[in-house]
Amino acid sequence: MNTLRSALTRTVGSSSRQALAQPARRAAAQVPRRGYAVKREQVFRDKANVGPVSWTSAVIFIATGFGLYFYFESEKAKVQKRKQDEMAAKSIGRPNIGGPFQLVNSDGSPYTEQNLRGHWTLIYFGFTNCPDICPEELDKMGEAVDKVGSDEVLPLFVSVDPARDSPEQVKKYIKDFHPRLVGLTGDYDAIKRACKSYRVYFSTPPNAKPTDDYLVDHSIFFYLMDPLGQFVDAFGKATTADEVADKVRTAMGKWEAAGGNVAAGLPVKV
Amino acid sequence: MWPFSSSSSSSSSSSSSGGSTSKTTANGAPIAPNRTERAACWSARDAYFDCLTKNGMVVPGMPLSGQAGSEPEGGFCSGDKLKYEGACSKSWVDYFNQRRVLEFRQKATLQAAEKQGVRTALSDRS
Repeated sequence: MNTLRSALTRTVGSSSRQALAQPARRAAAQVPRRGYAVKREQVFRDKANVGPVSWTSAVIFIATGFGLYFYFESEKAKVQKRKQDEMAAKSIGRPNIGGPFQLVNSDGSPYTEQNLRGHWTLIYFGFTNCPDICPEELDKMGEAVDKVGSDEVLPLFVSVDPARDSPEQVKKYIKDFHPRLVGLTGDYDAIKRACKSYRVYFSTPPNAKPTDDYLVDHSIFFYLMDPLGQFVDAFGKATTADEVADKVRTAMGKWEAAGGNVAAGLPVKV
Repeated sequence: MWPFSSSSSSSSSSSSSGGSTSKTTANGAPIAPNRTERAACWSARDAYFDCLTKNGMVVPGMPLSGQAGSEPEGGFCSGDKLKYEGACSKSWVDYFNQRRVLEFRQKATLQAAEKQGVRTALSDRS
């Protein structure tokens, strides 16, 4: 930029100086001058021959123009990309809930967060020997799933009672609830890790024996997670199935408006 | 009938009337109650608690108000209590009983606060 400006100044300067140079040249006929002055005058005259813009300055001008054009284009693209990312992630103010886990389903097969990719998920943490809150919440969750449309949302039950809740136990338990309810369990450490990433508190002692009769104190929220496995909402005891279904539909609507699974780089139908 | 040994029964509870072999899972854990068993437990609980309320008790040893009524032979609502403890595991019984006490205390505190609030409001006016 600076080079360009100085080149322009030089050009303008040279033409005005050339006009002034006319009487000076006449005077120069009588007064002998030093060599470098003659040389400089010669340069001025050469520049005047090509007009007010020299080749160098023209090249610099065009190059700068191109440079600026591509610079602004790339900046614009960067801003657009950032906006898109923000829309897809909607990361502002989103609680850091969810993440990787390695559990097993009620058939004993491995089940991770990858199995949830592309699915809207309602996820509840509980235990099969739960006196009343878990079954009530799971019933409500199932009801909400049906209200939204049975194929739209995947209901998920994650056990927080590794000692007693074997895949076999979980399989028997989930039969009582939604037909599509997926039950997950694992060993103490796997469940602990899953609970940590979902910010779920539970109080099973690590050394509890399967034959013990105890209750597990745990968080009783269930979460709505989007097809990327990101947290959308949490529902407590006070929320009704209708309210849950409404919130799920609203979230799905927003997701589709932002481009849906395609924009998020997920398979459309899993 | 119920997979758990009830608290009051003898130690040899594993040979209960049902006698089916699939009462525990492979790791020895008793099979968790299903929907029907849960419902049975809840209704036995409700019947027992209703009986206690009728007898002026929150739980045995804790009257709803001021003084306790004379406790009958064998304790309050002993029939309902037996059914309740037979239909629910001990941990559930403890949990429900504790919750009943907590709910009662909460209600009492709220009522007291309300009365206090009314009195304060009245005294402010005068």
